[in-house]
Amino acid sequence: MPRSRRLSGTAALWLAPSGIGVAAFFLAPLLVLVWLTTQSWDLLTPPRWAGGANLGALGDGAFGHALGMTAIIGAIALVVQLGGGFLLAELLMLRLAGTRLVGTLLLLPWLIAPLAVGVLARWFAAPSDGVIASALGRRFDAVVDPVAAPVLIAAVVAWQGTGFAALVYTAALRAIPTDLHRMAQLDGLTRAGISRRIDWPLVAPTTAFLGVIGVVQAFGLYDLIVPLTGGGPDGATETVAVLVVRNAWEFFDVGRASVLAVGSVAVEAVLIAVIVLWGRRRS
Amino acid sequence: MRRRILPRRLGSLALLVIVGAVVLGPLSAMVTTAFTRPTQFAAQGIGLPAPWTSENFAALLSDPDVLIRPALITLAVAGILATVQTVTAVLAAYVFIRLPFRGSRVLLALYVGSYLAPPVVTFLPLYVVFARVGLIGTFWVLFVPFALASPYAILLLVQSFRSIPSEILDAAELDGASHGSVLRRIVLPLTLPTVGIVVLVSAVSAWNSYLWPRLASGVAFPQIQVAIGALQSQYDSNWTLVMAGTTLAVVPPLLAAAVIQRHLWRPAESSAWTA
Repeated sequence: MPRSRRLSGTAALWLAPSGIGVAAFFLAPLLVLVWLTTQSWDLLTPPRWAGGANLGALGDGAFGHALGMTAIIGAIALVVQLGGGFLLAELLMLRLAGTRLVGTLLLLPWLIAPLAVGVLARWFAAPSDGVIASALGRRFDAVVDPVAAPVLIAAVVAWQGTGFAALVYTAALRAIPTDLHRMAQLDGLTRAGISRRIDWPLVAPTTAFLGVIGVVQAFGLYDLIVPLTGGGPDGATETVAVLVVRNAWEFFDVGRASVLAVGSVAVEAVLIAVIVLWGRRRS
Repeated sequence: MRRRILPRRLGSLALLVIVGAVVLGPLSAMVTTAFTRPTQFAAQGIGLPAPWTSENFAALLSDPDVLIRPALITLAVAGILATVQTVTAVLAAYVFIRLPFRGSRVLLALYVGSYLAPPVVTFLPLYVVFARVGLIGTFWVLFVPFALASPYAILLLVQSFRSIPSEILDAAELDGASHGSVLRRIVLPLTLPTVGIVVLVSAVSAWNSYLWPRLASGVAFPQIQVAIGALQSQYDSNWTLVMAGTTLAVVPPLLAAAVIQRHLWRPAESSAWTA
């Protein structure tokens, strides 16, 4: 490993493209976003100074509701992804026949566009000619049911992400020394006991990593919802990402949308920090 | 020992059947519906097509503006992004591993941090700035903000480059090899599977992206997912047609997966020689 030194010419040159990319298209936009929170702007007429007037957006019910909905959908999906992913990974570790085929199958949902998955799910949930309605043999509209709609969204998110979690867990389980398992077997632990008492605690850093990814996905949840519920019924499945996009591009209130965006980043950052700290303590 | 073989066989079969049904069930429902006549679908709902028909696809492809043009636009964007992102990520990852400097770890953390923020947080200010300079509604705006830096690609390559024993690279440098030739002759050949994964993941995520393409150039230069979204709202509950479009939008990433598949298990296997 080369020792740290001063930035050399080659290093500066090779780092320039990505550095410019991050500075111009991530850091600079964040500064612009902070400035936008102080403006009153409908994207048409020139922006006007609004001071702290937009901050009220954080206090009204819509933001709290969207945060709650993001949390509910994200939490249900995450529990299924982590639990199902870990279980599948343990099964893959048994090296049963067809393990590679199962591994490939598990990756497929992760590769499909969330928008396309949302369209597919919308058909599954279509009230009369959808798959769920056909299976039930009666009319059933999950999308207008304020309880069924978020559960449906969470189920679809979990369908997309569980296989990916399983593959990440498989990599973590492979790194556990086999001696550890042999010793546990000698101590009389069953295979299920080894899973629970040895494997699960040891893959805590992976669980934390997947937890961070789950939080990031929940706060970005948009593509899937647009074709599936459109944020409805009556805003019931509006996540924070949907709320921000609506405020900016449907209600043309850029200042308000910016305040909501900054607010959601702040909440997301706290959640990620908590998960990272939990993962550090467990590793 | 022999008694345990049968349960193992049954177990592996059960796992395969369950995973296969959960993953492939919805996808095969999509494909069969895409090949079903609208009249048959209206009469009996979901089921096997009788006869199989390509009329839904023919209807979608007869007007090139519906899906063909969006697919070509998306292929162009995906090609540009996969190429440029991979090149810039390879260069950045090499610096982080071989030429670390004071502050380079902080810089890497910053790259990763930019990956964690919800996309809409940067899309809003980016939209405002691009609107200001008159780039909204152009082809450029689809890839310019993302071409130079892909934090995901950089992170994956940093991890991959780190797995190369540094003695090999130190020896090459002592022999007078420049960083350019160390990268080209040693690092890239050793990490080719990961570089391939980076190219494909970049291309697939460009193909799959929806929100920014819709906001930035949804009408003038629609990308494929924007076109599928429009198809669904335009032909609401005309499911055979919508599923035909969705099938076409889903196929390219799955073909990419078939290419990745062989290499997917390689990083784990190749990590053996670092030990």
